[in-house]
Amino acid sequence: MNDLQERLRDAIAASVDGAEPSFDLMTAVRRRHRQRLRLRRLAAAGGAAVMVVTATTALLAARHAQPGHQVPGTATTKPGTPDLPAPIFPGGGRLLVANAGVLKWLYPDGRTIRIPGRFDGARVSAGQLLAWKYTPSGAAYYTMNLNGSRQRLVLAAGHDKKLTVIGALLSPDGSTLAYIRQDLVSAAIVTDTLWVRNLATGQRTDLGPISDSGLAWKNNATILAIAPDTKSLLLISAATGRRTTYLTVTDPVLVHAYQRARPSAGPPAYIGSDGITGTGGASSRIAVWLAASRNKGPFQPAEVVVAGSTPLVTYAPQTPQALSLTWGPDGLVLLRTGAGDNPGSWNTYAATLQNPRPSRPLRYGMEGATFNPAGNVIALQDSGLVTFAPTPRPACERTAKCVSFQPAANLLQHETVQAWIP
Amino acid sequence: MAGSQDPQLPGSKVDDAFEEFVHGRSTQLFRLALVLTGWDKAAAEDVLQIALERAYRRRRQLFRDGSAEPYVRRIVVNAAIDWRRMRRRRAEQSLDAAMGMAATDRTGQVADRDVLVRALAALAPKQRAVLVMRYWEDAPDAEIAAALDCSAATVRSQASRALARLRELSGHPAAPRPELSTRGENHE
Repeated sequence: MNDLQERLRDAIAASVDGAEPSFDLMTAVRRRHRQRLRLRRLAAAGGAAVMVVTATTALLAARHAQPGHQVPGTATTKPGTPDLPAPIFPGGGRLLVANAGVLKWLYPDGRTIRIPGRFDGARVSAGQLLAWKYTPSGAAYYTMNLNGSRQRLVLAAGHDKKLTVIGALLSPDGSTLAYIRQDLVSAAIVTDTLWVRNLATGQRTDLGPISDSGLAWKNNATILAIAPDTKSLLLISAATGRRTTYLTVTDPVLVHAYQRARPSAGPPAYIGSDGITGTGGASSRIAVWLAASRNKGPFQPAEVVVAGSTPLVTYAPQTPQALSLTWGPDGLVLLRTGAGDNPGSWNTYAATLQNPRPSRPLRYGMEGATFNPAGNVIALQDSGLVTFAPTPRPACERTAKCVSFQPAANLLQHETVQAWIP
Repeated sequence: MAGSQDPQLPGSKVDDAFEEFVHGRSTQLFRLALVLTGWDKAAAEDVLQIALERAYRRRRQLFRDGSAEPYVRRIVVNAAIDWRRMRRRRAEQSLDAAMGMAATDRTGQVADRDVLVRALAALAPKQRAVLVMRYWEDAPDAEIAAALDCSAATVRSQASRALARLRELSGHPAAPRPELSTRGENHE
């Protein structure tokens, strides 16, 4: 622990020295609990009437639900505590959102389909949901159909607090789960290791150390990962663990692309990846993240999209610190820039693979940004608030139709968008 | 906390165990809430009540599997962060007002502490929670990650950014160590 950290500890301890609650906590807790029970009884009495209306609405909604998207025997609302109708959102498709342990699909007409069970988040992976729930000893992962049926625990939480799993992702054919396992060796040392689990046999395989910055499946047999020293991208065989270096931070074509985009930054010092789009064949594209050495000033990150090992386009929007890329449909990408967790510092840009110049910035997007399936509407996520905005020109011209509307600020106020699909 | 680890705890003893937990841990939990809410005593009391009432509802399960403290701490941390975010959206509170209680309590103490505490109060809620849990409570990153619903990697990057911001705000010189990752924000 360095000097600042010790001073911080002393300062916090001194600032709360002698502080005590000003009332008897047990009395207050019991009073609050009784009030809550009273409110529940009142809600239950009123809820009986609401349930009749809700059940009728749910039946009507179910008739219009898409095939294979209903949950047999599962209500769209909790008995006695009916969900409020979802707000009408622009962009069509269906939104998967998470809120306080509840996952649900929202439809543009206000219908909701709740995923049974409690989950803290999910992603659509290999045509199914890969959902996770946090436990005191880490995250547990489940696969399930998009409607929440056929839930299956594929990765249990660790038995103590010294093990965390992050970045779990199903292979394109859904047969294998890859994940990064973080082991807490001491308060200051964490090791990051790539693991795979064969979902048919349950066998787990340690594929060796990688960086904690994420992973992507290149195809059903190969994983793209980042070397622990963040100097190279690796292709790792899921069956054998054999590693080949795919791109390095000193690769001349990457250095050239980076220095053209960031002429004052010097050569890149770190490399990462924001994943792959396409099927893993000749049409696939890989987003390569590059940044300058911190010793020489700001990171100055840039994203180079490569096909094979050929750079196609380099994005280098102005940013105080961080840059990340999210793939969209039809050659569209979203770029998010910002610093720390100050929402005001974050901007989101839409761009295309044909043009390195992004659109005008949309404010916010600190915690994520997602295209709708058509690519002409963007959902921006900030601390439980979701804002919908039209995709700006010229990026939207790649879509079937540019749309125009005033950004719908904070349309969802407690949800976190997990996926937006047709 | 006696009794909380006992898997055979009879139902009639659960209330006693809960009360013992509250008496034994409420001061530390209150102080945690106090720091996380920016030294707002009323807010800290409210946050602690919310957390304890939720724990009270689930007391049988929590005392059966010995997870009462992590559960309550997680609620305290998240309720305090939510409270700070809501407050930030409504209006920025002046730092002097935020620090009113602490400043009164610390009359005559060294200016360095005052500067650090004020800088801490100016950090974003999540960053503050990471620093407080990591350096004051000595909580491991995995435990902080569980409390904040994020990965240990995100905890480390948030801690790194928060310390850098704290240095800026408090005028402490930067420590000579590399910070590798600004990434990792896509982790669950």
